[in-house]
Amino acid sequence: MELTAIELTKQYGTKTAVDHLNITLSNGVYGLLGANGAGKTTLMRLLCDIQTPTSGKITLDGKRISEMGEKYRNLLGYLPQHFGYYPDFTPWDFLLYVAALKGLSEKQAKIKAAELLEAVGLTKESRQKIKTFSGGMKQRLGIAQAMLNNPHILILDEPTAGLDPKERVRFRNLISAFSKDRIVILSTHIVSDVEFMAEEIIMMKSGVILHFGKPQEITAEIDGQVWECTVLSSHAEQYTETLNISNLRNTENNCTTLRVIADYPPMENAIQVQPTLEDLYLFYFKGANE
Amino acid sequence: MKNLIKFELRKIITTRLALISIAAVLLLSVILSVSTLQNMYAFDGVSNEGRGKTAVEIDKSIAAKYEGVLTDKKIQQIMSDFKLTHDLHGMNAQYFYQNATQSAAFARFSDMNGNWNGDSISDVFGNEEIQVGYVNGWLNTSHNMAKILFALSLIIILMIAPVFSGEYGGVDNIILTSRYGKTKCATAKVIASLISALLITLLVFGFNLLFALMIYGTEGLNCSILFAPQEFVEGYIPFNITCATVLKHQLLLAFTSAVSVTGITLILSAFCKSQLIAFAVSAAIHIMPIMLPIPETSSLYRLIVLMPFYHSQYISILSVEQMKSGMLYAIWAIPVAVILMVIGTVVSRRLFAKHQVS
Repeated sequence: MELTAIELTKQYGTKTAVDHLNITLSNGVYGLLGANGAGKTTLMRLLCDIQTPTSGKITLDGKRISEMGEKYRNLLGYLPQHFGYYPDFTPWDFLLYVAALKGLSEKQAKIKAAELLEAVGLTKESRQKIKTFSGGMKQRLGIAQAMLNNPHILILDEPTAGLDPKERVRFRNLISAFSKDRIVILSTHIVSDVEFMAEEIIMMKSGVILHFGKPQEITAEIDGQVWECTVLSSHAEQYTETLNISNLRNTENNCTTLRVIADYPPMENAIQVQPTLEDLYLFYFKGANE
Repeated sequence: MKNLIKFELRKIITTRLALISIAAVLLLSVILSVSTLQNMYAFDGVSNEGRGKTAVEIDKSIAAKYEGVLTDKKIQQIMSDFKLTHDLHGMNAQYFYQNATQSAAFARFSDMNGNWNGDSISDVFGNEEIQVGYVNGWLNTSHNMAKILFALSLIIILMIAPVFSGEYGGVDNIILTSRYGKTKCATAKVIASLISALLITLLVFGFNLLFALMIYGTEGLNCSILFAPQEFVEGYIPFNITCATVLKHQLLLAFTSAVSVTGITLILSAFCKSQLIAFAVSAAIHIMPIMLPIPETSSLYRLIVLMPFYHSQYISILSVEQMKSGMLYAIWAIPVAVILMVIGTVVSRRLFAKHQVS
């Protein structure tokens, strides 16, 4: 299965959210990284066919998704960044409703809903009204609804937002088990989530793709530009203003270890270290509106 | 599809606002019926006098004395039975009220002093055969239902305005990316809206009818509305039809009103991003016809009365002259409702399916 965007452009008035984007996605987990306003959500909506591109097209195995209609949507699962819900519905009702929308029979819907509520840890709360749920619980319900129809294309916009560390681990495992022979696209600000789950990274800025590849390939972009150096804790603050620092760690003897992204050693005691995805993210998006 | 319709019905009917509104309209029905009953007065011209249920019984017994086809002889008898025995101090006797039958006769056959004005049955009613009986209760019920049906149409708008616009708050993301989101879901919403509107209309109409049956019984249903008390003389339906026919037409018009309102509201619900705006605009469109300064003599009036507002306000549409076939003009409300519903279905489905999620 190949999902392809060809010269894909989306403009809102004079603002270009996605700019002549070309990409081909086959089975695998893709992590979409970018600052706010980079065009990630717009790209996801275009891939879901809930927004019409200004120009360009999206095809699935050569067929335009906009012309595939129900056939395409039958393959799709989507978790939007902000999704509405019916306050008086229970998660059980909500999943049965979405299952009906997805064309599952009542019997299939009940089996799948129970299975997914268990998978996202909401079995006990399945008869409570959604309006009583915390943000994290709603998010888990959103993840469950996206997976109801065993989608071949799963698009998740900020799936880990609001989840606590334990839930994030549960989510990672769920996606890992689910992703075989499917296209999974997820966007998040939590770079470590992408690092753990994604086989390939799509880094976006201003509607265009900056990098597309495996994490180790794209972090190679800043090989030799990540340094660690130790300074007195009392001086650490002033370095944050002058250097591009990806991490600060307090150590013994009132010292702080700084992780710095720079073309040259930022100070004499600086040691070159292996770049991570987070370093790359900060390299590109330092100062961007997060 | 059945499953989707069930969910959509639940979303429309079981919201707190919808349930409160339905309860409120039923309460309004009770209040109107009870207050109408309590305001009823009757005096049999001899010694019996009363209000409320007693007045109804007095009126019924008087009407029973003259039941059957109205004749000149019966008019003379009524004029004599209820002849004025005291000075009205300048008041027009046509407006003098002792009981429903007396008022019906005096309004048409009395002069200012309460004497026969010289008119015969054929002078007043032409060749029409007028069935006499106790029509007061049913005509009042009919009047009250016009008020209730107006409130009901606003409740239908309130319930249906969020059908599409309510989804634009975020659930549209999920609906429109699901297999049937752009097809069967929209159809299910339309069907559920129509079912809800018809069900609630049936409930309210049935409730009022049952309440009236309990108070007034079945007497008068086969009697002509033309021989009704003074308050129904001016601005009322000018055709020789029975109370039962009025109620049947009113029920039909209640349904056409519900269907028409549903069609219009669905379009606005799919068009407006906010349910409040969808409600306000739909309600404004519904009420707008009464603001138009079009006199009843204008040919445009015949079109205006086909708007859903006038379906629920049955008198205007039932008063338009009959068609050549002898059918009441109000029958045109049916094709109007069907057209508005078809347009509402097509446009709202299209708007929702093409909606760009933001």
